[in-house]
Amino acid sequence: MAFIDLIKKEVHCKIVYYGPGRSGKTTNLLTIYSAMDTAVRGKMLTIETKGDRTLFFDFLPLNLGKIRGFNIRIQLYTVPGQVMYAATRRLVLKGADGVVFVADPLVIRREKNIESFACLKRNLNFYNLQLEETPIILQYNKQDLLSSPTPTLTIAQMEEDLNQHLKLKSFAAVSTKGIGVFESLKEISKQTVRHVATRHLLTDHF
Amino acid sequence: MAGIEEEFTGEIDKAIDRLFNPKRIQLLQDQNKADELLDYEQANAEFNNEINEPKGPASSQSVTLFQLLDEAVLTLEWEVTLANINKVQELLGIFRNEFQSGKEPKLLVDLMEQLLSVMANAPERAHFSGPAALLQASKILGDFCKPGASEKASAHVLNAAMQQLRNAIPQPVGKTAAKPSLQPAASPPKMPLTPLPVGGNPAVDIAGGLYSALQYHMTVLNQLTAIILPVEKLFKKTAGYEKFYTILNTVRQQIDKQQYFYGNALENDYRCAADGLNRPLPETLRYSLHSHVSILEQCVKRVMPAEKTFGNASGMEKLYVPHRRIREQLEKQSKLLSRLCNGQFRSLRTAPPPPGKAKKSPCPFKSLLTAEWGGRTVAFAAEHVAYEGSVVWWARRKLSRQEHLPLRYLKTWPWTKLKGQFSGKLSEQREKMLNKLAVPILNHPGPFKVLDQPENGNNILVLQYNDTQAAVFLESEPESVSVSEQWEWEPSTEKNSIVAGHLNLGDKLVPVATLEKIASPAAPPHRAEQLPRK
Repeated sequence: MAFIDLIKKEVHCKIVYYGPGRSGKTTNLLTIYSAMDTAVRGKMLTIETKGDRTLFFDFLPLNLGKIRGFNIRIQLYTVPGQVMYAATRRLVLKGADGVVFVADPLVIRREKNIESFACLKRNLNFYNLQLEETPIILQYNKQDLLSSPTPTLTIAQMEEDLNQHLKLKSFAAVSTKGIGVFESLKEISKQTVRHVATRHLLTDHF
Repeated sequence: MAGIEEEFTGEIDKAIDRLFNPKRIQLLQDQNKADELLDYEQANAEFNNEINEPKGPASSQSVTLFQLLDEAVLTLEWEVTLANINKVQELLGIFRNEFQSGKEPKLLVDLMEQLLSVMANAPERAHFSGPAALLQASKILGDFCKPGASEKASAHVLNAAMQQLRNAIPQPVGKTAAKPSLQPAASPPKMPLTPLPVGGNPAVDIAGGLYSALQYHMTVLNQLTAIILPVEKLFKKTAGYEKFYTILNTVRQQIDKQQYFYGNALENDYRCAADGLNRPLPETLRYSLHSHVSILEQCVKRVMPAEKTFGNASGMEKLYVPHRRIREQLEKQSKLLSRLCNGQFRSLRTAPPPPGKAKKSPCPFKSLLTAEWGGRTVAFAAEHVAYEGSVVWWARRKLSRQEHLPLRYLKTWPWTKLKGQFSGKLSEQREKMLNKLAVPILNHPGPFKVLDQPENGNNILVLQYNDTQAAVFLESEPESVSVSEQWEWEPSTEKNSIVAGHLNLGDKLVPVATLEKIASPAAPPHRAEQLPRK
């Protein structure tokens, strides 16, 4: 759920990069971080909890500027993708306004993609959010591997696995080279801010 | 309304397009190309170096094993699954047999196994850096397979890898430790978390002052555990105090772990330098002390909110006192250790004894409390101190010209409980009994036999030895000092004196006061008396 400060006129939208381990979520964030102007991006943070167990996730705030007097900020988060960090993944997803699902095209990772997408659905449901109602886009990362001898999935195969019914917007990407990273971010930012504005702002304050 | 929405959506799109403008992305892509070129050149150079590097007669079996281990750890880094963990564990077992003689690889393998065990049993508790730490450790193991292994994998590199592994192994956190498991629980192998001595020597010589300061620190940690345990037990039994129980339980476990860690290190890995003194603080120990200080500071942070809660709630003074004492001691100890890290243990050193001079017997006490008493510095054996504090405002006048100190005068408030404030045998007494007890106030050992009074000193020590107790009023706040082995001890020949002997610090002779002599059957009674209550 977006954080809206009516006194300061600030809106904070949370976008989470979700996907199986090693699919390139952090690389997406690092690419964005290194490309953005320091004036619009905040510090990339690693957050530590107070307890003995340390939870790490990446966090990158971006300032969109003012729209109708409201300062719109986007906070980008990644979740740890590996199976063992299920609790952390769920925790980071709390209050998400938009999700970028980063899929891995390696054939051996096919099951992991499907598993992780199902896990996303479960975790959203846990916070009373529906996959169909939440702004989500798919990013088919590591497209540079298609030309390598490593067995990979085609975009059509991944669409069939993940996007057969939902018909979400999807993007091909090579996050290490910045290809498709900003396209994905642009799209999810637009969808998310629109979603937040429609649900919380437009009717009451604009 | 639809018009407004459309207009607004347009504004959002414009703002987002402006933020992620294509020129910037183009620039980034150019930068990536340049980086790729650099990477390619670097890879080429590395490849050439590899070809030109002369290859020694490495054990081919070990190298194959290492390759397998490296692959397995890489797979594990890719995805943490039970199958991958088992594979690495299996290979480590084989590696363990390879390195039966070496201490360093064995320690490294032990830590790797411990981490793997945690990853398998409680994946949610394992730190994210675990796979990376394992990868690093496996690389170092690989170095041991190469010729000239021990030189190549230096102690610093090993220590760094071991520290990384330790960081990835979670701390025990009592109830919160129960987490989903990938396999039936099996306790991880126990092993001491001792820092590795530089150069792989059996023990590293450290300065006497430092060694004894660390020993004193161990004693204080022990005392802290003794303070925490009864309160922790009480919280455990009392409904509604689960939060406080968790706090104290965590702090005690941390302290226990640290005590175990340093106790082992002091026993096995470090020793007091035989020649004495001018030994620099080993880097490994400094590093480990820094992390120890941060753990103590964490404990302080944990205790503080509980202390505040009990301090602010009326009727909770009984619980406030031990929390305050725990916090104060932890703070004191972390300050002491910070001073040690900065090399300030040198102040405890003395000049080595002049050649030819016979060495006198060592001081029978490990740590002392020094303070101004009767205008001179006097030391008290720390192990004989049952209470350390200052004269309470309301008791000041009442104590004037008294020969005995009723222990109830140590209460800040009428409802303050005494039991938690004492250590040793006094702490075992019932509250009712403590309220009735009074202990004699001792004269200072100076030339003037003037009865010590609160106006002469604001600080009180209650000393005890067996069943004998006595109080002293001091002019300065007592400071803990660890006894160096180099300090000469001259036992006192005086009978029935509270001075057990003198410590010769080179330029200074400090009397050490204890109740040992006056507590003997032949000595005049200084036993605590029961005062009739008025």
